[in-house]
Amino acid sequence: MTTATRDKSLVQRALSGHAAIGLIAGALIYLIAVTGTLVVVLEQWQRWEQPDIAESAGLTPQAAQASIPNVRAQEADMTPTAHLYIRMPNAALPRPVVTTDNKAWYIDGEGRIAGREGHSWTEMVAALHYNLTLPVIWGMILVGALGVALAALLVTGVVAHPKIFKDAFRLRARAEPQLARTDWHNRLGVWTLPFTLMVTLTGAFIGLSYTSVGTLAQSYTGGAMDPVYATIFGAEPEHDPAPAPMANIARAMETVAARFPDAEPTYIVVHDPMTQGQFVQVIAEHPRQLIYGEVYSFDGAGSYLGKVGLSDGALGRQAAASTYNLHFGNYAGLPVQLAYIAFGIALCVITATGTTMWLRKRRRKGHDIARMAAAWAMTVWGIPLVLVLVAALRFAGGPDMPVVAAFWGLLGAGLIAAAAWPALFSDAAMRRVLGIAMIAGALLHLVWFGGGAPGVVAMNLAILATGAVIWRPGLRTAGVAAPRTGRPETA
Amino acid sequence: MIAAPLLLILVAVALVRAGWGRDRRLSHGGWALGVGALIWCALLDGAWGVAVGATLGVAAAMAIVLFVAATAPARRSPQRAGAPRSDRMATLSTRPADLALGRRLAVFALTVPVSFLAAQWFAFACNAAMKGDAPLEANSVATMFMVQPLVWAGLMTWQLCQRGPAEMIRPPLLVAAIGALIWIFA
Repeated sequence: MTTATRDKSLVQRALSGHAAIGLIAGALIYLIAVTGTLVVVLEQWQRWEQPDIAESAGLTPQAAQASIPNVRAQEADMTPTAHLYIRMPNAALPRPVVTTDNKAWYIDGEGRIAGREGHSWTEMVAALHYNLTLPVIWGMILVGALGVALAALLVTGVVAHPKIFKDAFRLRARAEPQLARTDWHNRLGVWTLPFTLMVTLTGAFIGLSYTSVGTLAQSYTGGAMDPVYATIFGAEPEHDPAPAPMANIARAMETVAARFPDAEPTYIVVHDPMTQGQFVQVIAEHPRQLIYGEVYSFDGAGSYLGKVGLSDGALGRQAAASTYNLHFGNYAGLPVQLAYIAFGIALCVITATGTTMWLRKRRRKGHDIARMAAAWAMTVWGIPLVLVLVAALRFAGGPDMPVVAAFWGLLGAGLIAAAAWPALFSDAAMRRVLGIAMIAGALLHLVWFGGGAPGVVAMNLAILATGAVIWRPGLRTAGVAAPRTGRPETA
Repeated sequence: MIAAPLLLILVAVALVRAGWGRDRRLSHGGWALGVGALIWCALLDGAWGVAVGATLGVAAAMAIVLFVAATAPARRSPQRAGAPRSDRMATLSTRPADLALGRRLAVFALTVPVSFLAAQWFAFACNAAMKGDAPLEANSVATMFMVQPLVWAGLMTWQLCQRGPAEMIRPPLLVAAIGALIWIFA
């Protein structure tokens, strides 16, 4: 066998493998890519979902301390919480939030209750990305496995296209639709490759870490997972349930401000509040580091106990703590977040065009692809459309609406309808409906809430602009998703 | 000051574009400049600097690609254009249905559960080799976290470039065997 023949067969095999993974995992990868793109600005979505909450740019240690009895009074008839989290306000979400095991409450700058945190739509979007709304551990493992599949898709894609780098700047966007689609798929694929590989492998790391923790726990700690996690994220002290006054979190915050002036607290965590064994952790971001934060620990009196060492400890700790921000793009402010959104959209286009190209190929071979094409159009445009519809449901019915059930129910019904009546679910019709729904949704939001903070207005403007681009009335498009008709091609 | 290497990254991407398909020296110079600028970012701000620099580089390249798309000429008439170039497109085998289904199930079993287990075993062996007889600690645990998906993705890629299920058995077996050797000598 000559080298050329061998190379050619390798290319063909890689292409076949590329197609196989894409067909098996494409729809779920697309769902994770869409929601991942949204999750980059998760806090902005939370603010958008509840734009009428009083905001405060900062929270003093005294106000943080004062918020605890206020929240406890609010939850007087509920089971006492074993954990208490105070989320510090920042530019993206200028609202402190106190979360207990029961509920979460926005507080104002004085520590008074400002409203219930009810961002069920934002939480659903995040859960779709993290664990596909499945039980957390199994869902995260599945998402991690899909990350591995995406990594294999990326590498087989490069192997399958020997000229992919040679043609790296060739994009015939206005050529024959299939050619244009192929160019979009390959060019965006090659230039976002470093980002996509990084994001998919960090995502796989996060999701599949559960399997490694489980293996290590079974092998070394009698099945207990906490000691395994403690090697990286630090251990909790012995629990002592004897009653005690509330922990002095104000002193802990003041100590961090005095001893680590560059650190910016993001969360205050109280474990086993109002017990002798309670202890406080202040999680603080370090500028120009990828870690999500360093964890500073304090006893109930607010005396400093030490830090975990995520910022300067063992390399494994630093690396593990860096994967989250690297994955979500939360390490250099809005510019990097916008870049991540652009790359996320590119991944959506790559995924959508990949299956569309395969469908087109089948059509050229004479297969009737009408139902599959309609189902794929429903997947590509229908997933964001269903997200818009579920957002409308949440605004109309409040935060307790069953948004997760509504999402899967609407998506499932849409897919069934697409298979039953494919003519109604053409690519053009679906994208038009999505574009109009986004524009209408943003306008309704603006009218309903009367604009709101600049950040909320910016989100609505972004939705409007995106909706207009997707709708693109009057413009011919190459068609990112399904082929326009399901009839077999005669060419 | 990270602004300087970031600026160099923009220049590097512009050079790569300018030399692409024309002057290789220009293109290679752009790549070299980009790598040098990323090293400068690393020296200034460590991993954070590399992440920011790489993000900027990818964003700049994507912006150029979008510009190319926006300025692409309209398609030629079908007569002049002739048949579209035969784009490489994915196909799956067209074997008889029952044979194809069995083959696909075998491929799935080999690339998902079998390779997952091989990668998990390999990562576990790496953990054991790193920690030796000592208790679990951060470096060996984090290494296991990272090695598992990397090896699994590598295995899946390797397997899917094989001719058929029979050839797909070898990669996970080999990785598992290497894992066993590491375990024995750990």
